[in-house]
Amino acid sequence: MNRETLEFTRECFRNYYTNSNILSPVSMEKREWGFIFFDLDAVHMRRHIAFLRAEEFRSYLKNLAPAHVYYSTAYYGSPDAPQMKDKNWSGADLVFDLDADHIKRGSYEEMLLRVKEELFKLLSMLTDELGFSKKEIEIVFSGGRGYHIHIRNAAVYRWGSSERRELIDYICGTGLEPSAVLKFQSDFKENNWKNRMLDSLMEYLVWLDGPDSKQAESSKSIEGVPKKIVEKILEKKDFLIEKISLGELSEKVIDNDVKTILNALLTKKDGNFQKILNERAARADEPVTTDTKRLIRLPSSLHGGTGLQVMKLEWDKIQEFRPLTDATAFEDREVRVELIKPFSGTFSDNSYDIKKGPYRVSESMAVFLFCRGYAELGGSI
Amino acid sequence: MKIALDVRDFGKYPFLKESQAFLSEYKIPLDELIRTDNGKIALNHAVSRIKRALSGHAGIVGSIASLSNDTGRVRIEIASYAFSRILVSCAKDRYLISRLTQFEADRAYLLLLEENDDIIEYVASRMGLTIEQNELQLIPYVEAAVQISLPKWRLVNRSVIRGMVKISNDEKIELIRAKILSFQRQNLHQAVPGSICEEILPFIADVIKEHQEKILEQFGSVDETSYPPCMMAIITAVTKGFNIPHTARFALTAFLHTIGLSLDGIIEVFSRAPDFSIEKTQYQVEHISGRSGYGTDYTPPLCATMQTYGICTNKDSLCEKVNHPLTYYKIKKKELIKKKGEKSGLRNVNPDSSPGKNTNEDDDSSDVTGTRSYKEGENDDTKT
Repeated sequence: MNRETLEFTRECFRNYYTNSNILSPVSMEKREWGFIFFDLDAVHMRRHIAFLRAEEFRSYLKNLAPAHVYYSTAYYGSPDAPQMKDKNWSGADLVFDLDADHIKRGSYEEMLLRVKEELFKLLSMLTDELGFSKKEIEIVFSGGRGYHIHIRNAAVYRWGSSERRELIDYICGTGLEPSAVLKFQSDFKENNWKNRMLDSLMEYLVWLDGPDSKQAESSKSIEGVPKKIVEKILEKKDFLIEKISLGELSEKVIDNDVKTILNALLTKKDGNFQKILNERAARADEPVTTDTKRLIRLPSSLHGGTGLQVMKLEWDKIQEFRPLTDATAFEDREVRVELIKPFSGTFSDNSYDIKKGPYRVSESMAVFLFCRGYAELGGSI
Repeated sequence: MKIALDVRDFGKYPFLKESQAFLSEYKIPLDELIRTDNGKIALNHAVSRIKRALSGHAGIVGSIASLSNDTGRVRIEIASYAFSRILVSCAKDRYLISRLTQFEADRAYLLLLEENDDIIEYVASRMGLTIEQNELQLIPYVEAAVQISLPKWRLVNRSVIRGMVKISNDEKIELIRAKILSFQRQNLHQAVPGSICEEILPFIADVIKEHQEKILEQFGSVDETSYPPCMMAIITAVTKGFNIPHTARFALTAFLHTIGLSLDGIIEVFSRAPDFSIEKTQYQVEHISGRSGYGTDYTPPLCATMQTYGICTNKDSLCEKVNHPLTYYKIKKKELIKKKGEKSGLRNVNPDSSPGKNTNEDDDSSDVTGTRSYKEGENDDTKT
């Protein structure tokens, strides 16, 4: 970004922070704040900042128009202490982070679509399985490639990393132990990891017998399972699939061979079984949840990498939410831009496939292109 | 649930609120109680309680066998629980605190195994675990289950429906033990005014003496030649002035502390580093070895954890047979003493022949549940 583009973008952010209703997190005076500014030089975060009142940080945003705004999920006695150990931690919100970066490579739109599927899986696990109420779950579009889930529940607020890890491991299906999972009684229609593991096994058996696995089959073992056992399992594949799908899990069905194969497959982290299983997990980012001193983007602030709003979403609006249309933050006036590399993609319901050169686009799209490094502020056309 | 505990139950579960209330019938506060005859009896009893806590399973069985129905004795039993906490808190020794914590949880566990469902569920509910029809709520479940490292306790391996977690009948009591353990980890250690500690100094001295004798029994005098290769590697790295990771510093300090090296002895090891800073080292060592008085109890990590940290190095054949660096040290030391004894005919401190020897060889590793709760260093550069 050149100086003019940077100044222009900062002015757009300043206007936004002057004219918009900026949300204030619960117990804002106990939070640590961090900011990254528009800067030509190195990216640097200014943190260990605290505000006593919402007006203070709102005028801070107006005056300094930062590119990125973060606050701590943690509550501190002294949020502005420069050393973490002196901050006097008293608790933290429970957060989950879905970032397309971990899930799928591809175009921005594809990533956004894919991460939304993960969002639905995550939300259904959080409510139907883990029992959190919709009221305590706040869903936020990150302004970038994903979603943040904030859970405000007084009972978990003092939890340390180990307790939080139990939940994120559940969400991601990490630490599955066949011998333990297979032991618990459950209805076969129930959503739980026993059924997800067995469903994955069925899908895997079908794959194993198909053309895709032929190449792998030429070796002595498949994904760590001795070929002999694979052959035995394949012989009774149809029987297994039928029994598992009916939920008839007697010792005869889930015998030692099945347990062996499950154990072996689960240790093969990059294998096809794990891939199939992952489809049934919600792939939230583990360290974000277990870190009790995380900084997270402020809902209603702007994401300096896209110019989009970090947007709080209502439950009934998630399905129809289109980030590149609904999270735009700026005015409709046209801005002249100079595209410095070709851009193809959608923005505000319009598809683009444009070459380098001068264009007139909406302010929101201009900021989007500047922030993502596709364009600079243009001269006259 | 309507159920009343009888007097005897108070002595079994002295940590329950109603048991402590029973104690208040002495009608004087604890700090005045220590000056009375009853107080002296209870203090003596508290010392025995701690000695039992240092004696493994036999100590627990002994404690249970001596339970009485007599009101006066029950009161002394409960007072001894309260005083034993005061004694170890005054002694400010993490190992003592951790042994007593474990003792209280294990003792309650053995007692609960003999109880009927009503009592079990009652004690559970008093500990914040409401278990009905083999189900309990997610949040109390997680808080108790993180104390147990077995895979079957991980939430992912459970049936969870709308925030209710299923557990089997046998697992109830295991979960209650875990809950008592975490309750004691948070509450057993307390801030005791210095004046009180001073008044009961002879009792504290008695406890510390017993503790040191037990360490000698278990580990003998400190013998650097028996250190496992991973610890030697860390010491070598320190000596050569390499900047060792926090996990390695932690592992070595906890290891040296547990085998009985004094604070000064541990600092001496770190002082071999060319860039040694006494203040920094003292702070870290005190924190890990428990002198600063706050935090979880730090046991050296299991071999598996050392592997995860990437600091399990130079494995030898003995390493294959053990799962904990402490077990390595114990076995190696025993072997060396044997050899020396054969050569010189010396009668040394032989851990095999000591009367109070812990019968469970892997005792140190089997109860290391704290490894999961060990907190990583501060994360300063994280944002989402």
